[in-house]
Amino acid sequence: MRTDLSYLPPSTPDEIRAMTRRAGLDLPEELMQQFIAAWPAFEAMVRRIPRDLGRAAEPAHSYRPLRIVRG
Amino acid sequence: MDHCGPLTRSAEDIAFFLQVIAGFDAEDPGSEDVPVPDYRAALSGRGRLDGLRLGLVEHWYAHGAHPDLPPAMAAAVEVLRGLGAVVEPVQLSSLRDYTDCKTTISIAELYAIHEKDLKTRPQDFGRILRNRVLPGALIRAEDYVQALRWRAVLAREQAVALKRFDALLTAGALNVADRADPNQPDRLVSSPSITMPLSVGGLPALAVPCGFSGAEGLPLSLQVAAAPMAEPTVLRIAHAYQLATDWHRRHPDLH
Repeated sequence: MRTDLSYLPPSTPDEIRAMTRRAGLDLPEELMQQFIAAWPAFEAMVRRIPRDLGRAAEPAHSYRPLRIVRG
Repeated sequence: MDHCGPLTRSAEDIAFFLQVIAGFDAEDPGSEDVPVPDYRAALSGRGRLDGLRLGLVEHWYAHGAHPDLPPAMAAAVEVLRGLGAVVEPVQLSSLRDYTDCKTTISIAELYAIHEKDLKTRPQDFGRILRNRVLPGALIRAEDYVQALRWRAVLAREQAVALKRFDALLTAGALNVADRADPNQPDRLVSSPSITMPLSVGGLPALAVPCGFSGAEGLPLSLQVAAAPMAEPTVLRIAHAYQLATDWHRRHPDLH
Protein backbone atom coordinates (compact mmCIF):
# COMPACT_ATOMS: atom_id res chain seq x y z
CA MET A 1 0.00 0.00 0.00
CA ARG A 2 1.30 3.38 -0.91
CA THR A 3 1.61 6.12 1.66
CA ASP A 4 1.61 9.70 0.50
CA LEU A 5 -0.02 13.01 1.37
CA SER A 6 -2.41 13.25 -1.58
CA TYR A 7 -5.37 12.91 0.78
CA LEU A 8 -4.73 16.42 2.11
CA PRO A 9 -6.95 19.23 0.78
CA PRO A 10 -5.28 21.71 -1.58
CA SER A 11 -3.90 24.84 0.06
CA THR A 12 -6.21 27.82 -0.10
CA PRO A 13 -5.08 31.09 -1.72
CA ASP A 14 -4.67 32.61 1.75
CA GLU A 15 -2.49 29.68 2.84
CA ILE A 16 -0.38 30.03 -0.30
CA ARG A 17 0.08 33.72 0.43
CA ALA A 18 1.12 32.94 4.00
CA MET A 19 3.59 30.23 2.95
CA THR A 20 5.07 32.54 0.33
CA ARG A 21 5.54 35.32 2.89
CA ARG A 22 7.19 32.89 5.32
CA ALA A 23 9.59 31.93 2.54
CA GLY A 24 10.68 35.56 2.38
CA LEU A 25 9.05 36.39 -0.94
CA ASP A 26 7.28 39.70 -1.40
CA LEU A 27 5.69 39.29 -4.82
CA PRO A 28 3.77 42.05 -6.61
CA GLU A 29 0.05 41.22 -6.62
CA GLU A 30 -0.03 40.28 -10.30
CA LEU A 31 2.81 37.79 -9.84
CA MET A 32 1.24 36.48 -6.63
CA GLN A 33 -2.00 35.77 -8.50
CA GLN A 34 -0.04 33.85 -11.13
CA PHE A 35 1.75 31.88 -8.43
CA ILE A 36 -1.50 31.09 -6.64
CA ALA A 37 -2.74 29.64 -9.93
CA ALA A 38 0.48 27.69 -10.55
CA TRP A 39 1.18 26.21 -7.10
CA PRO A 40 -1.66 23.64 -6.82
CA ALA A 41 -0.23 21.49 -9.64
CA PHE A 42 3.17 21.44 -7.96
CA GLU A 43 1.65 20.84 -4.54
CA ALA A 44 -0.14 17.80 -5.94
CA MET A 45 3.15 16.44 -7.31
CA VAL A 46 4.93 16.88 -3.99
CA ARG A 47 2.11 15.27 -2.06
CA ARG A 48 2.21 12.17 -4.27
CA ILE A 49 5.76 11.38 -3.11
CA PRO A 50 5.65 8.14 -1.10
CA ARG A 51 6.47 8.65 2.55
CA ASP A 52 7.27 5.04 3.46
CA LEU A 53 10.72 4.79 1.91
CA GLY A 54 13.42 3.57 4.24
CA ARG A 55 16.29 5.79 5.22
CA ALA A 56 18.66 3.51 3.34
CA ALA A 57 16.96 4.43 0.05
CA GLU A 58 19.10 7.56 0.00
CA PRO A 59 21.68 7.12 2.75
CA ALA A 60 22.86 10.18 4.59
CA HIS A 61 26.39 9.12 3.70
CA SER A 62 25.75 9.59 -0.02
CA TYR A 63 28.07 12.58 0.40
CA ARG A 64 31.39 11.37 -0.99
CA PRO A 65 34.23 13.19 0.73
CA LEU A 66 36.96 11.43 -1.28
CA ARG A 67 35.56 12.96 -4.44
CA ILE A 68 35.91 16.41 -2.92
CA VAL A 69 39.40 15.72 -1.61
CA ARG A 70 40.63 14.24 -4.87
CA GLY A 71 38.92 16.89 -6.95
CA MET B 1 19.28 17.28 -12.29
CA ASP B 2 18.69 18.97 -15.63
CA HIS B 3 21.61 18.83 -17.97
CA CYS B 4 22.58 20.10 -21.37
CA GLY B 5 23.76 18.17 -24.39
CA PRO B 6 24.67 18.75 -28.01
CA LEU B 7 21.96 19.37 -30.61
CA THR B 8 22.98 18.31 -34.10
CA ARG B 9 21.54 17.11 -37.40
CA SER B 10 22.55 13.50 -36.85
CA ALA B 11 23.74 10.98 -34.27
CA GLU B 12 26.99 10.78 -36.21
CA ASP B 13 27.55 14.48 -35.55
CA ILE B 14 26.85 13.88 -31.85
CA ALA B 15 29.64 11.29 -31.77
CA PHE B 16 32.12 13.74 -33.23
CA PHE B 17 30.93 16.52 -30.92
CA LEU B 18 31.05 14.33 -27.84
CA GLN B 19 34.56 13.21 -28.66
CA VAL B 20 35.66 16.83 -28.28
CA ILE B 21 33.75 17.80 -25.14
CA ALA B 22 33.82 14.57 -23.07
CA GLY B 23 36.31 14.09 -20.26
CA PHE B 24 36.88 14.42 -16.54
CA ASP B 25 36.45 17.86 -15.01
CA ALA B 26 38.13 18.13 -11.62
CA GLU B 27 36.09 21.25 -10.86
CA ASP B 28 32.82 19.33 -11.28
CA PRO B 29 31.96 16.95 -8.40
CA GLY B 30 29.48 15.19 -10.69
CA SER B 31 32.15 14.35 -13.26
CA GLU B 32 33.35 10.74 -13.46
CA ASP B 33 37.10 10.15 -13.78
CA VAL B 34 36.89 7.36 -16.36
CA PRO B 35 38.50 6.90 -19.78
CA VAL B 36 36.69 8.56 -22.69
CA PRO B 37 35.59 5.92 -25.21
CA ASP B 38 36.02 6.24 -28.95
CA TYR B 39 32.50 7.39 -29.75
CA ARG B 40 33.14 7.36 -33.49
CA ALA B 41 34.03 3.67 -33.31
CA ALA B 42 30.49 3.07 -32.01
CA LEU B 43 29.19 4.07 -35.43
CA SER B 44 30.85 1.16 -37.19
CA GLY B 45 29.04 -2.07 -37.91
CA ARG B 46 27.35 -0.97 -41.15
CA GLY B 47 24.18 -0.02 -39.36
CA ARG B 48 23.29 -3.48 -38.06
CA LEU B 49 22.00 -4.02 -34.54
CA ASP B 50 22.19 -7.80 -34.41
CA GLY B 51 22.46 -9.12 -30.89
CA LEU B 52 21.13 -6.00 -29.18
CA ARG B 53 18.15 -6.29 -26.86
CA LEU B 54 16.05 -3.17 -26.53
CA GLY B 55 13.39 -2.58 -23.88
CA LEU B 56 10.42 -0.59 -25.15
CA VAL B 57 8.80 1.59 -22.46
CA GLU B 58 5.55 1.92 -24.34
CA HIS B 59 3.27 2.66 -21.39
CA TRP B 60 4.89 6.10 -20.94
CA TYR B 61 3.44 7.31 -24.25
CA ALA B 62 0.50 4.96 -24.86
CA HIS B 63 -2.02 7.41 -23.37
CA GLY B 64 -2.23 11.18 -23.49
CA ALA B 65 0.27 11.60 -26.29
CA HIS B 66 -0.20 13.16 -29.70
CA PRO B 67 -2.32 10.68 -31.71
CA ASP B 68 0.35 10.37 -34.40
CA LEU B 69 3.05 9.42 -31.89
CA PRO B 70 2.20 5.76 -31.10
CA PRO B 71 2.05 4.76 -34.80
CA ALA B 72 5.30 6.62 -35.49
CA MET B 73 6.92 4.79 -32.58
CA ALA B 74 5.57 1.46 -33.79
CA ALA B 75 7.08 2.10 -37.21
CA ALA B 76 10.42 3.05 -35.63
CA VAL B 77 10.42 -0.17 -33.61
CA GLU B 78 9.87 -2.16 -36.80
CA VAL B 79 12.85 -0.41 -38.40
CA LEU B 80 15.04 -1.37 -35.42
CA ARG B 81 13.80 -4.96 -35.58
CA GLY B 82 14.63 -4.98 -39.27
CA LEU B 83 18.19 -4.01 -38.35
CA GLY B 84 18.50 -7.09 -36.17
CA ALA B 85 17.59 -5.78 -32.71
CA VAL B 86 15.29 -7.72 -30.43
CA VAL B 87 12.69 -5.30 -29.06
CA GLU B 88 10.53 -6.33 -26.11
CA PRO B 89 8.20 -4.34 -23.87
CA VAL B 90 9.42 -3.39 -20.42
CA GLN B 91 7.30 -2.10 -17.54
CA LEU B 92 8.73 0.59 -15.27
CA SER B 93 7.02 2.88 -12.77
CA SER B 94 4.54 5.31 -14.26
CA LEU B 95 5.62 8.42 -16.08
CA ARG B 96 3.79 10.42 -13.40
CA ASP B 97 5.84 8.81 -10.64
CA TYR B 98 9.03 9.77 -12.41
CA THR B 99 7.92 13.33 -13.11
CA ASP B 100 6.65 13.86 -9.55
CA CYS B 101 10.01 12.75 -8.19
CA LYS B 102 12.11 14.70 -10.65
CA THR B 103 10.04 17.88 -10.48
CA THR B 104 10.18 18.01 -6.68
CA ILE B 105 13.96 17.69 -6.67
CA SER B 106 14.45 20.08 -9.57
CA ILE B 107 12.29 22.93 -8.35
CA ALA B 108 13.93 22.85 -4.91
CA GLU B 109 17.38 22.99 -6.50
CA LEU B 110 16.34 25.58 -9.09
CA TYR B 111 14.95 27.81 -6.38
CA ALA B 112 18.20 27.57 -4.45
CA ILE B 113 20.00 28.78 -7.58
CA HIS B 114 17.63 31.65 -8.33
CA GLU B 115 16.48 32.64 -4.82
CA LYS B 116 18.27 35.96 -4.69
CA ASP B 117 16.93 37.14 -8.05
CA LEU B 118 13.42 35.85 -7.35
CA LYS B 119 13.34 37.89 -4.14
CA THR B 120 14.76 41.06 -5.62
CA ARG B 121 13.51 41.16 -9.23
CA PRO B 122 10.91 38.45 -9.89
CA GLN B 123 9.37 40.50 -12.69
CA ASP B 124 12.54 40.01 -14.76
CA PHE B 125 11.83 36.28 -15.13
CA GLY B 126 9.60 35.03 -17.93
CA ARG B 127 6.17 33.98 -16.67
CA ILE B 128 6.58 30.27 -17.36
CA LEU B 129 10.07 29.96 -15.88
CA ARG B 130 9.15 32.09 -12.85
CA ASN B 131 6.14 29.93 -12.07
CA ARG B 132 8.21 26.77 -12.46
CA VAL B 133 10.95 27.96 -10.10
CA LEU B 134 8.94 29.81 -7.43
CA PRO B 135 7.25 26.62 -6.15
CA GLY B 136 10.68 25.54 -4.97
CA ALA B 137 10.34 28.13 -2.19
CA LEU B 138 7.54 26.04 -0.68
CA ILE B 139 9.27 22.66 -0.85
CA ARG B 140 9.97 21.45 2.68
CA ALA B 141 13.20 19.73 3.62
CA GLU B 142 11.35 16.45 4.23
CA ASP B 143 9.74 16.65 0.76
CA TYR B 144 13.15 17.06 -0.82
CA VAL B 145 14.73 14.21 1.14
CA GLN B 146 11.82 11.86 0.43
CA ALA B 147 12.10 12.71 -3.28
CA LEU B 148 15.83 11.91 -3.18
CA ARG B 149 15.04 8.56 -1.57
CA TRP B 150 12.44 7.89 -4.25
CA ARG B 151 14.96 8.80 -6.91
CA ALA B 152 17.27 6.05 -5.69
CA VAL B 153 14.42 3.52 -5.87
CA LEU B 154 13.42 4.59 -9.38
CA ALA B 155 17.00 4.68 -10.62
CA ARG B 156 17.54 1.16 -9.26
CA GLU B 157 14.46 0.02 -11.16
CA GLN B 158 16.02 1.30 -14.38
CA ALA B 159 19.34 -0.33 -13.54
CA VAL B 160 17.59 -3.68 -13.12
CA ALA B 161 15.88 -3.26 -16.49
CA LEU B 162 19.22 -2.45 -18.08
CA LYS B 163 20.61 -5.79 -16.92
CA ARG B 164 18.07 -7.40 -19.26
CA PHE B 165 18.37 -4.89 -22.07
CA ASP B 166 21.23 -3.09 -23.80
CA ALA B 167 19.11 0.04 -24.09
CA LEU B 168 15.66 1.46 -23.43
CA LEU B 169 13.40 2.96 -26.09
CA THR B 170 10.55 5.38 -25.61
CA ALA B 171 9.22 8.54 -27.21
CA GLY B 172 11.27 11.75 -27.12
CA ALA B 173 8.26 13.97 -26.41
CA LEU B 174 4.55 13.36 -25.92
CA ASN B 175 3.54 16.21 -28.18
CA VAL B 176 4.89 18.31 -30.98
CA ALA B 177 6.61 21.61 -30.25
CA ASP B 178 4.51 24.48 -28.95
CA ARG B 179 4.27 27.77 -30.75
CA ALA B 180 6.84 30.33 -29.60
CA ASP B 181 4.22 32.26 -27.65
CA PRO B 182 5.12 33.60 -24.19
CA ASN B 183 1.42 33.72 -23.24
CA GLN B 184 0.75 30.02 -23.78
CA PRO B 185 -0.05 27.84 -20.76
CA ASP B 186 2.85 25.97 -19.18
CA ARG B 187 2.70 22.47 -20.63
CA LEU B 188 4.82 21.04 -17.81
CA VAL B 189 1.79 21.36 -15.57
CA SER B 190 -0.71 19.70 -17.90
CA SER B 191 1.44 17.07 -19.61
CA PRO B 192 4.31 15.12 -18.05
CA SER B 193 7.73 15.30 -19.64
CA ILE B 194 8.94 11.99 -21.03
CA THR B 195 12.58 13.04 -20.84
CA MET B 196 12.41 13.35 -17.04
CA PRO B 197 12.54 9.62 -16.21
CA LEU B 198 15.92 9.26 -17.84
CA SER B 199 17.24 12.25 -15.90
CA VAL B 200 16.08 10.55 -12.70
CA GLY B 201 18.25 7.55 -13.55
CA GLY B 202 21.15 9.63 -14.82
CA LEU B 203 21.09 7.71 -18.09
CA PRO B 204 22.64 8.96 -21.32
CA ALA B 205 19.75 9.58 -23.71
CA LEU B 206 19.38 10.75 -27.26
CA ALA B 207 16.25 11.75 -29.20
CA VAL B 208 16.04 11.34 -32.96
CA PRO B 209 13.21 12.34 -35.30
CA CYS B 210 10.94 9.43 -36.21
CA GLY B 211 8.16 11.11 -38.20
CA PHE B 212 5.98 14.18 -38.54
CA SER B 213 2.53 14.90 -37.16
CA GLY B 214 -0.20 14.99 -39.76
CA ALA B 215 -2.06 18.09 -38.56
CA GLU B 216 0.88 20.34 -37.66
CA GLY B 217 3.61 18.84 -39.82
CA LEU B 218 6.02 18.98 -36.87
CA PRO B 219 8.61 16.38 -35.85
CA LEU B 220 7.92 13.42 -33.58
CA SER B 221 10.82 11.69 -31.89
CA LEU B 222 12.19 8.41 -30.61
CA GLN B 223 14.36 8.40 -27.48
CA VAL B 224 17.17 5.93 -26.84
CA ALA B 225 18.82 5.54 -23.44
CA ALA B 226 21.35 3.13 -21.97
CA ALA B 227 23.21 2.49 -18.73
CA PRO B 228 25.37 5.25 -17.27
CA MET B 229 28.51 5.77 -19.38
CA ALA B 230 27.07 3.62 -22.20
CA GLU B 231 26.89 6.50 -24.66
CA PRO B 232 28.49 4.34 -27.41
CA THR B 233 25.48 2.01 -27.28
CA VAL B 234 23.05 4.93 -27.57
CA LEU B 235 24.99 6.37 -30.50
CA ARG B 236 25.20 3.01 -32.26
CA ILE B 237 21.43 2.52 -32.13
CA ALA B 238 20.58 6.08 -33.15
CA HIS B 239 23.10 6.05 -35.99
CA ALA B 240 21.83 2.74 -37.33
CA TYR B 241 18.28 4.09 -37.24
CA GLN B 242 19.33 7.19 -39.13
CA LEU B 243 21.15 5.12 -41.76
CA ALA B 244 17.87 3.30 -42.38
CA THR B 245 15.58 6.37 -42.32
CA ASP B 246 15.74 9.97 -43.45
CA TRP B 247 13.49 11.69 -40.92
CA HIS B 248 16.46 13.69 -39.61
CA ARG B 249 17.07 15.15 -43.05
CA ARG B 250 13.52 16.41 -43.58
CA HIS B 251 12.27 19.83 -42.58
CA PRO B 252 8.82 20.89 -41.40
CA ASP B 253 6.97 23.29 -43.69
CA LEU B 254 6.66 26.37 -41.49
CA HIS B 255 5.06 28.65 -44.11
